[in-house]
Amino acid sequence: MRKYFQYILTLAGLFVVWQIVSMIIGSYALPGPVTVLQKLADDARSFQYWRHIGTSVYRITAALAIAFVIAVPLGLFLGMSPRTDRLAKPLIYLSYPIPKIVLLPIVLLIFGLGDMGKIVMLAMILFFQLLITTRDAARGVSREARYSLFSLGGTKRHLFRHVVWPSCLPAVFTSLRIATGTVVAVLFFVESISTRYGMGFYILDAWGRADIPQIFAGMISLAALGVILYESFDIMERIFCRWNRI
Amino acid sequence: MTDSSPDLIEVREVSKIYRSEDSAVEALASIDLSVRQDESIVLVGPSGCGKTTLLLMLAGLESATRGRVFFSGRELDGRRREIGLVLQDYGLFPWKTVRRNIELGLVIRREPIDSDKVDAMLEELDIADKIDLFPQQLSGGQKQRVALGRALILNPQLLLLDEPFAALDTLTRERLQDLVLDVCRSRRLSMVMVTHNIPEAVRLGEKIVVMTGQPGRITRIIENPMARNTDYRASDQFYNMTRILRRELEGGNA
Repeated sequence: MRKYFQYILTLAGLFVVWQIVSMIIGSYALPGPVTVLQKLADDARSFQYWRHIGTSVYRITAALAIAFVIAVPLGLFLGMSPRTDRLAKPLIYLSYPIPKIVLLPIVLLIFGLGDMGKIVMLAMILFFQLLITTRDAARGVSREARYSLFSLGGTKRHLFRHVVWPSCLPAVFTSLRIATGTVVAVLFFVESISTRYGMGFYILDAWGRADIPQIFAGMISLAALGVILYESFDIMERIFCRWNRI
Repeated sequence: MTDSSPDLIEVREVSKIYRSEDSAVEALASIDLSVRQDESIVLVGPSGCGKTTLLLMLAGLESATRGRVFFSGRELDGRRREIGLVLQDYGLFPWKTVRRNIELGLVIRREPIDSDKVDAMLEELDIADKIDLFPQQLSGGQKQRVALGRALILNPQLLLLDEPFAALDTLTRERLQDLVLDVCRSRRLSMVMVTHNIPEAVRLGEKIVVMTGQPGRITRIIENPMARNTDYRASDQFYNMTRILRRELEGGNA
């Protein structure tokens, strides 16, 4: 309850500052929150708006799922296998800093202009964040924990199931939260090309028509999407990592 | 226990060398040691003298570079369920409740979990009311009781303890020493313990093995037959023995 109160308080504070700045700059360049919320309420009554939201949600969750399924097991494996990690490290560190977004035309060429190309692009950006965080967490499993497990008769399989995986879960959730911020921010770029749906297109379309209230309505929608994803991961972490919240 | 008891563990001419790309460190050199059934042995010595390495070898978790370790007359070539290990930092898994931590050895070995046996164990260790708590909700002493329970549930013949009470206050430490003695006595367990604490070594070790470092060697084995006696801690012999051990250790460091 306290958390929701904090959200409301933060939003109220933000809207007050926004309103003041809007009054200083002028409502055409920066429409006030009331105008924007009115626009958002109007659009939210249309099927088209929810189609934009639905498309973006689909692309984000698909990208998160693909990145998760590939990066997390790979990160756990590298963390548990120092020799393979040493071999893979140069490749990871060389490719991690490359701004993946510059590969967008190539990715779209290979995977097509439809959803798949966009999802792959988003997944590529998320992949490294998830991989490196998970690998580092798996590397952090102490020698004592290994001894403890092995002394009970455990094998490497047991080590993974009873020690590495549960000990890495909080780090996995942290990386998912970080990745969520990135994916929502990058979504705008990938949805600016060859699509007529998604929140990126919704904002870009408003740009073209100089519909400033719609631009802000799109921004608020993306922020709300981010909050829902963050909170979903928080809830999942509370369920799966109950021990970490004590 | 008599001298005619068979050896449960026999360490013969064991050396351990840790090699890295550009160096080699000899952790243990020519160690000979035997542990009889129902006997308690304490390893003491300065930090880095190889006590823990030797203990991990007895647990089958480290291999010897030279020499051999025998368990019940057969060469020890890996981990054995008859050998239980309790570590200084408890080795408990924070994501498992007390019950799940204690049952873990049985789960790993795919053995049926006898809830009555687990409950009796928790009762004996005085942690029955902590069963659904996570380790981070327990005190240091309670955590060590759980670690002890996790090793004991597998019915070991040999209990290995690596400075298990180092982080505990004096009274808790003494209570747990008595508890370890009780469980070893009631189950006729052999015990090998590593400690830096002189009174603890004298209280628990029928044989006190004094080691020196670089490389780790055994310099003396002190017979301490009064150890494990209920009133020993308050007796003059106890203080005499702590003085003897202190002198031995100071000599070893000189």
